[in-house]
Amino acid sequence: MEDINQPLEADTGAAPAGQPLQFSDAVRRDLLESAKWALFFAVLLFIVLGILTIISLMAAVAGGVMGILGGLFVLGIYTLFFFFPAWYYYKFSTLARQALGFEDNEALEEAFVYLKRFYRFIGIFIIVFIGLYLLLAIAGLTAFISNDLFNR
Amino acid sequence: MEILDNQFAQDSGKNGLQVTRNMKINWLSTSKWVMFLAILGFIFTGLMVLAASVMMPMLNMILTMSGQSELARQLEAAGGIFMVFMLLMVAIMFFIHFFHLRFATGIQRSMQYGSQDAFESAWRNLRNYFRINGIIAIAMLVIYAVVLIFIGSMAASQPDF
Repeated sequence: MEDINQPLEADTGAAPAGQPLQFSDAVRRDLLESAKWALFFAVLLFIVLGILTIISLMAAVAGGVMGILGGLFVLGIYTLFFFFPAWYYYKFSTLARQALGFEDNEALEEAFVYLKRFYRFIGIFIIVFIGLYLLLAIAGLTAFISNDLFNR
Repeated sequence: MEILDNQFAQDSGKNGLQVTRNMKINWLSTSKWVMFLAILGFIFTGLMVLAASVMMPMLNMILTMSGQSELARQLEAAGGIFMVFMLLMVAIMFFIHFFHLRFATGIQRSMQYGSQDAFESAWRNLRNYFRINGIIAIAMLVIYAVVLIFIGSMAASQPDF
């Protein structure tokens, strides 16, 4: 499928102003390579998720009732963290390669939707993370200032 | 690959892909998030530089205070390696976020001014971003594998290890 899309003579001169943006050969090459890397990361993330699943299931089995609850909770969090980025990367990659291989504009549109979703997920994730971090820092600081931490 | 059957597959060869309104809307949103991530990344890179520049004098002070023992000399060597490692990390982090930033600004500029050059440069930068990340990921995997093999062989050669 990649063979169809091999670059020909790279005619990538600047289009005159006022012309709509083109998916030139250079853009196609870069998109294709990005898509392949995205697939690599998706597979990597799925593997990491699989390993984490095995570990937390083992921990859950080893730890009795609380262990099962805790293990499933941790597993849920891991799944949330790893599944969605991996899935978005996977969809972006497959759709972009399909679009480039078969000149399928709808697939390309869909691919960019998944790219957007990926970055949105990571962005929101980081905002939440920083928020939690700040919250904990403030809580710790108040405890420290009110001397509650050491005078228990 | 069932998509071959649909009506778009047959027409217009190399020119089948067009920039559509939906794509532009998605790119705008993507570029904003990417910009956010890049700026955050730069801030973290700066914090890392700050941490390194605070840590180095502290390490040196500890070494001077601890006198000239064997341990101090070993620590000094480790400190040098640590410093080089830190610099490398900072450089890599900078470039990762730099490519992200260039992607975001390129996409925005290409849509604002209809600039094909900016458009191509944006995708080149996204490709570079993926490339540098991918190479790092592969390097990490190789390092993990080597360390695992090293530990395994050590454990195998010394039964009580």
